[in-house]
Amino acid sequence: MKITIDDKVIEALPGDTVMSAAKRADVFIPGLCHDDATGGGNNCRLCMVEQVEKGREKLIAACALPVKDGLVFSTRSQRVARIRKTLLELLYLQAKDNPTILDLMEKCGVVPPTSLPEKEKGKNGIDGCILCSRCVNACAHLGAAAISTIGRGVIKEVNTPYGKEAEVCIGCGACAQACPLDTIPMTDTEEGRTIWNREFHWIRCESCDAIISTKEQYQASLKKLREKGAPLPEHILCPDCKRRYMADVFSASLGESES
Amino acid sequence: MDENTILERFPPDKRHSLAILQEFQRQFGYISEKNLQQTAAYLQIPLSSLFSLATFYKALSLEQKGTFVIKICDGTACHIRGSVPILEEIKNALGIDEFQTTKDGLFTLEVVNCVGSCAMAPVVICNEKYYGNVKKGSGTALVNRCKEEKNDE
Amino acid sequence: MNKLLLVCCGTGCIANGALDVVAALKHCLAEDKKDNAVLLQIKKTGCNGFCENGPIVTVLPDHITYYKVKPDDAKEICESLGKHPVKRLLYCTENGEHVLSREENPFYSLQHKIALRNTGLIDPGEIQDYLEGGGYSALRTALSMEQEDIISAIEKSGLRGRGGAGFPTGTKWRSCFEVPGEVKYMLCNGDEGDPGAFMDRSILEGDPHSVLEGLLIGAKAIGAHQGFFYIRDEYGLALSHVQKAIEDARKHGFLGKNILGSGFDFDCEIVRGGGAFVCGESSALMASIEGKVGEPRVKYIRSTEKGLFDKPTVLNNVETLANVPYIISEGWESFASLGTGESKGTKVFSLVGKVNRTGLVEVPMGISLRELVFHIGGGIPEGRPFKAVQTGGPSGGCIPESMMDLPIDFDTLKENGSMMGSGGIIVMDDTTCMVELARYYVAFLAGESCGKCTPCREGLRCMLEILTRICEGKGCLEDLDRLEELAFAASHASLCELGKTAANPVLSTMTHFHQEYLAHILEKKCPAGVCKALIQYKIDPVLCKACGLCKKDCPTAAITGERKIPHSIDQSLCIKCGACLDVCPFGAVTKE
Repeated sequence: MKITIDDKVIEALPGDTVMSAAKRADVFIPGLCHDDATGGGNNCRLCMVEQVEKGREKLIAACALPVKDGLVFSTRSQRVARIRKTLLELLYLQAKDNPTILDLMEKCGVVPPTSLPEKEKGKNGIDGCILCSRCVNACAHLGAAAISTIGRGVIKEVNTPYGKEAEVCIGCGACAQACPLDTIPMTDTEEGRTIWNREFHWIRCESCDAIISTKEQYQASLKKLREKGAPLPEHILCPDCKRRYMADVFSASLGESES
Repeated sequence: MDENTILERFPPDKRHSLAILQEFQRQFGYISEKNLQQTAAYLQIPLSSLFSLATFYKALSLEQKGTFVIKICDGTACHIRGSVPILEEIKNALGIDEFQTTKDGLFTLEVVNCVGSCAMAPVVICNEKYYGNVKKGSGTALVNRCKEEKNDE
Repeated sequence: MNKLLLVCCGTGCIANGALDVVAALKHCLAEDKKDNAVLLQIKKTGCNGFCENGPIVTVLPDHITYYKVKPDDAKEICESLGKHPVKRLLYCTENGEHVLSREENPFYSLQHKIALRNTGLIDPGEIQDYLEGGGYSALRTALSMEQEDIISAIEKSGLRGRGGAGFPTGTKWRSCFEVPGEVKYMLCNGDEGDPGAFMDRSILEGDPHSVLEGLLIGAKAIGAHQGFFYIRDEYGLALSHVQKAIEDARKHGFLGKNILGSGFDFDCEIVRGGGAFVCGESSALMASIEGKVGEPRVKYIRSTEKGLFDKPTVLNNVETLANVPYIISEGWESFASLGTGESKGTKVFSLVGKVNRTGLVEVPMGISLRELVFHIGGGIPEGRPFKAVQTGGPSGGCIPESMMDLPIDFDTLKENGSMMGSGGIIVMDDTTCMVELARYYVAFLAGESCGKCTPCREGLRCMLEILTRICEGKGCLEDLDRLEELAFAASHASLCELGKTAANPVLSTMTHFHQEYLAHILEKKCPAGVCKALIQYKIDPVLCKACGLCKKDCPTAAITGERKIPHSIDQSLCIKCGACLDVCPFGAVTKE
């Protein structure tokens, strides 16, 4: 399929959105909330562009609109510029001085606003959340569904139930990695990890002592194996040592069969 | 009705989450942490998901409310006919802000969306009893009346 | 002689004591039975529409309607039956004329009831009442029609969604009908949330079967076998009446398997809302039924293709569905003969606020705002000057006096910065501050926004802060530019219609009442005398006769003064409630 963005014709594959096709062709459309791994998004609205059809323009969200052959888009309208400016200002108010936001602002030619009202801090101790929900989706898909969005409207925020230590959190850090602005506080030390007000301890490789993951994350993966009826590992090994171990096992069994 | 009776009335399907929590709300006046956990376990959904629901919908409360729940309708008709001065008056009389409960646990004050009695605007509801055409300056008297009527029951 | 007394028992009238009136009438009936030749039947009905004048009692077959009836009036009413009407309970027009019947009441003139055809006349809890009036005959007809033909009739009638969006109903049904699939859903949107609007509530309370019948016909047309009523949590009476209607319909074979022997299966259940205005939005409503938070989704793939549980779904408003049986029974031509070119049929409006005759009216579309407010509504109380009318709720805008001759329909108001919306018409006089009104609507939406997308959530937050500051006298001219930019982003970049229309009240008041904004910003004055920070209550020492009435009524003891000493107000304690001004017999209290 072929679509046109700002007079540049680019390739699109089945299943593409305007955003994913643009990304592949190195055409810049700003966006923070869409996650290729977990989907979701459609909420930062930075990716709004004009769809041009029969001489008329219609604003659409690039990360949401599925691509069809022959569609034409423009990012250069006055409307798009006006929207991006206000949206970046509003995002800035939520995540002051965040390097990613500042970068985006520079790229779009927007300066930090000086007279719009500040946003009050929430109760979750996180500075600079833009409520893209990527962490929530990552936790639901890859982690333990320990966090969610609380409340609605202006006071909406991401937190664990009751703001307490979530019993189910496994300290995997998927949320922190998914966050486009790196605002989820996560501290890693030699002993373990602190995240969402909870302390986790590492489980280490029996062979080389490398950090594998938190104990809880390891337990969670064992649980998944048990549920699938798969065999459980006999030793606690990091990926490298596991490979060496399996190689030894294979070569030993080959050696046996050959002799 | 106890907790298990409430849960058993519904098949363990996620789509009944809101209805189940509303039953707890109706029976106990709020949803306790224990009830929320029981419901999550029954429906086999993450607690975080259910907590999100419980904090999204205003019909649900995670906190115990006062003996008297005073609701001031701030629908447009009531608003134009003077709901705000009455709210200010009652806030002043009780010493709390809206969506708060007095320290003695007697009163919870809420501001609610249009209750559909626009012809009697402004409307104040105390423990589901409607008071219409509430006059300016009569907020304190109304609070006392609510107390009396409830004590009489 | 046989007399039938209809007593309005809609939520509004019940709050005004209608059930006590019913009890009192029944008591008189029991007493009278011994000697009287009057055979009396008392029937509880749904909303009559003339809500500020309830409780309402209508005597049939005489067609005499009594207003503001109290339990104590029951005896007199019963004694007057067949003799002469109780004059003091009749409606009295501005000309001092007492009118006997509903038809002669100017409130009901110009009205043409289709959606409200039964409301106020039947007992909504009695399916027999509905059947006697021809109920479910449209369903019988539809069950014998081809799906194509049902859809065609609705398309030709020109029926458009009555919930606010005005999407052509026939087109919606057709697009869902064309999607292949065994499992489809037919939904009724009863999440009426616009403050000041109670049309859907009254229809669900007063004539639930008409909506159920419409739902059934729609289900047949699109090929759905399961349906849901999504009804606002706060609508207790509507919920119980619809539940009863569903149970009675099942007993009569209108719901379930092989309905009326047609081979068509359909059943439905009620889902109760959770107190979220945003759940009136179609995709948020469907998410809510699925047990999720009511967050809308982008709709590049329409719900008619993939809606509830990812199946083809049609969602229609209560009033829209109430019109459907009429169109099938009476014919699409009958419906299409009313209204205007693009806006066929009638519309139910709730006429509230500063207007003499408040309540629910149903009129053909195309009527002008002026006719609605001044002819049917009887104009502004106390002869105060008209200022504006708000239409379309928080998604709509304000219409000033100069535009009152505009016809009310789907498109004209939209072209003029407002919209008809679900039908709420709020009338305002010179004591309403338009800046504070904009702030009120933005505050409402800020609390109801689902919070998912940036332009709505953060845009409303900023707009609210700015408008609050302006009402406190702390605004500046740049604030108006900032409001415009925030409004632009919300209107064009929001994910759903709540966000997209959130700025309408702000933009329309800024356009039509710009002077009021300037007064707040430049002069720090509120011309309507509403914004607390900009008004002060003062007692004129010359006019004050020290009668002490104001001091007695003051809720914060802010007034000091003794006998023969002019009273004064301590501004630091005054909460600006205005009770003193209301009570002073000498006009000594002023608001400035």
